[in-house]
Amino acid sequence: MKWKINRSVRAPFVGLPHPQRHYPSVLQLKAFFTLDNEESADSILGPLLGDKQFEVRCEESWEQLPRHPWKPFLGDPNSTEIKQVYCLETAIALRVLDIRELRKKQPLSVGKIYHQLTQTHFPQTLQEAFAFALFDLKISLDKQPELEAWQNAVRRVIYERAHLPHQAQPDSVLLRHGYQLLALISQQRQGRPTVDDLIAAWDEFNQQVTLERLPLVFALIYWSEAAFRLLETGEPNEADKLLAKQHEVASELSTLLPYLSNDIADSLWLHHLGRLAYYRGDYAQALQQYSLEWQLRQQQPALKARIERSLASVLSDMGHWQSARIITQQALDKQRRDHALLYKNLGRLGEIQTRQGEYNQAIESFSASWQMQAPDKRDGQTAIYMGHTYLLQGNAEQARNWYTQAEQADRKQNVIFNPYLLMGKIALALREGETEQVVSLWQDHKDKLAGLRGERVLPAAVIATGLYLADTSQVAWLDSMLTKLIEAHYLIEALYPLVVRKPSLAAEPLQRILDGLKQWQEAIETLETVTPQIAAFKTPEVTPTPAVLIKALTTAMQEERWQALESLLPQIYPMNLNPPNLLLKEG
Amino acid sequence: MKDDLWLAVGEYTGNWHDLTSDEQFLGVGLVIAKLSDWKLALEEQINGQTVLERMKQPLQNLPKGFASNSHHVKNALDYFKTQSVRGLWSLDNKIVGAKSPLASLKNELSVNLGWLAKHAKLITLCTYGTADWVRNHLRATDCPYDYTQILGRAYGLLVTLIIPFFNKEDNLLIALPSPAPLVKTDGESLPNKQDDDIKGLCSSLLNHAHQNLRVWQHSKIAHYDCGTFTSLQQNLLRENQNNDNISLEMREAFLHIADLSAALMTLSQNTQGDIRLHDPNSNWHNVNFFKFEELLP
Repeated sequence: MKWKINRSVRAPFVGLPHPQRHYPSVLQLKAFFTLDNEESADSILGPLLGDKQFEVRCEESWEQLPRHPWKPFLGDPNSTEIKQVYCLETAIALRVLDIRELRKKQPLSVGKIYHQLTQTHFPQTLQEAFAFALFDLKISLDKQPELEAWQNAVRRVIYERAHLPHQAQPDSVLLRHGYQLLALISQQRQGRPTVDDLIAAWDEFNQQVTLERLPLVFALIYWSEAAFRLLETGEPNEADKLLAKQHEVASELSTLLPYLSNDIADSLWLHHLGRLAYYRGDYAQALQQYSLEWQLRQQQPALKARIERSLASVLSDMGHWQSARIITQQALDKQRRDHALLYKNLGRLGEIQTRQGEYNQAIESFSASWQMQAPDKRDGQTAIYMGHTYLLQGNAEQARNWYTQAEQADRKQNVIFNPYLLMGKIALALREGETEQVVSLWQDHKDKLAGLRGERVLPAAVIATGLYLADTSQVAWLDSMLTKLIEAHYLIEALYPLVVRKPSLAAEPLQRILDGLKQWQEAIETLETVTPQIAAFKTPEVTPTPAVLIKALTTAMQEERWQALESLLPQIYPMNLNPPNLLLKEG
Repeated sequence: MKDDLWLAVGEYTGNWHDLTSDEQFLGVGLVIAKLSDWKLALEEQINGQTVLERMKQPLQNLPKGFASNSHHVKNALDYFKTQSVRGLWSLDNKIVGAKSPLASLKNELSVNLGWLAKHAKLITLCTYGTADWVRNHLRATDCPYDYTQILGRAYGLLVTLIIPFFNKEDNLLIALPSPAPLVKTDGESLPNKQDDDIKGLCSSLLNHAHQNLRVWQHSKIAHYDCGTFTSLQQNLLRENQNNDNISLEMREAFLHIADLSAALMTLSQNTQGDIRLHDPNSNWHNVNFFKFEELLP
């Protein structure tokens, strides 16, 4: 933030009417938190944060300072005001103050805001916010081994729900207790504690605390995790009791730190876990987390809307298009005013409509999304989707036109290589019978495609399939992409390149896909149990859902031919950009 | 007398008419004080003589051929040059029982310079540098050879530095000597030419100082009024002359005191000079020398 700080310029010599003059300057600060191992006696902010081992440092930059000839006579800033402004910057970094409001008023006057900060519950607010930030991991911490180890431990135990590998004994009292909490949580995950065990363990933990007052975030995390654990072990009623405790703590913390209330709600972390699982392609785990969150959060509309949006993504990828579509449509109705979310959800809706074969409606959705994005800021993503939809509709001319627009938009945003665009162009060439161009485009980008990881494996695999259809001698390349697809959990999409061989010759990958689909189906069944509203969205329409595919694959294995998949393969998007009939002929 | 009336009297050193010699030492000085303090200073005694009396006369130990009508340090320095006097001087080290004319002159000059250097109320503010720097930084693009403009800008640097430290009720009057070469016709100077030069000088000073002060004002210094500039010829001082009996000889004495300030600067800062003032333990609290570049905004 920028602050108005009155500097003074001394008169160059005595005897002039004013021995010094005020010189209003602007100080910009950016705070970061560090561990001060050599406990410095003049540490002001460490004790205010509730831990003398910590200190706040700020990157300072001054503006509007006097120039020559007065520059050499510039006095030091008032130390009290500087201490106050450091304290305020700390409060801002920890979001104890309303950052959005303050940003609008820069440069800020120190006195009034400092008064506002210190009027109520000070420095408790700073201490609570700092302890919260140590677990929330959004603040800027110094790059010190001890702090990096701490962040890794939190990430591992809280966000990834893994075990704490090593319990450090840092000098910082907050971190020491933090590690004790992580160790306790880690230990409780090993067994099946009852609600009484969990309450007793918390009491015991509190008795060991050497702080005058344990920050509320400790209880917030503990009860959240305890409730989660009880749900995992099939004790939903008991989980409710502990969840009530967590609510109580969250409410107290939100009252103290109103500008952090969303983050405090977010700190329930379940949603993060679901999203993390989704992003690594582990849909079963994602759905499991969302199911738990659904049970816990159904009374909170804002959180529920968020779960719905996330669920729509997973369901769409799992072939449950109608459910995904209804949920997305509902989200759109709720978000009419939020421009950024609106264009994203319109894009999501367009994609679902494309999967459903409703190309005209998809084109409408994509057009609306494209129009809503500022021309100087949009990349080619929506235009690529538009091109794919036209391609599937059989309108090669429009597909080409939109791919060109996508290329131009990407270039404006400095996107040099977009595998999704290449995927569309190769599919277009293939559909037009330009097999030489397919091979040529692939050769030009072969190295880049080989290096793609994560979700970008999908366009690489679509391209590999198109290449195989243009030149069957490239089967080794296709096989390597098939392996990558399965590893990245693209189980449905992996069926497409799989059918180039007879089922018995593809037994191993087929079995892996089947096992994965069964896990997905279990997760969907759990979700449908806890979310009857979503279950009600199901339609009798046959789409490539895990249940439908499991049945078809089992039949295919028995019959040693892919006929059971014949009606499903053309629905597997974006693999179906390549003409599926060609594949089945090969198969 | 109004207590918010300040007077800065200037003097320059070096040949500002010819800036071709790169390393030539150039400088300007101002002696600044409240007008009331200026008047009191003139009544102070040095060796049983008022400062006013002392400034009216040439240095007493100067041989007649070197003396002009009133006190000019340059006369003494010219004389020392003819005697090949060189070396480091201290204003505090008087030659006790000096009988030679040179020693007596040195003592007399040192006393006068020392009086100003250690004065509690008269502030000496000087800036100096080379002709090369002046040529490159103070010349106006529209009339690069107008020395009154250049000199006015140099004085402007000094005024710029101090203006922010005045109250807005204060008036700072600037009195400058004419930079015109003294042309005499039948013993009379050409007053019109001198007046024009002083006007040009003051105008350049004011423009330059105002321009430089914009830097301060653009930095959002609040409610600052940089006061009134004027020259001795302008009304404000005339009113004071009438009311407070500031005579012509007093005005001339002020200029001779400013001459002392320029001498203090030259003797202590010009590394090429034959005589250098060296007063490591001196008590010159009210004396300030700046290089030109230290003052340029």
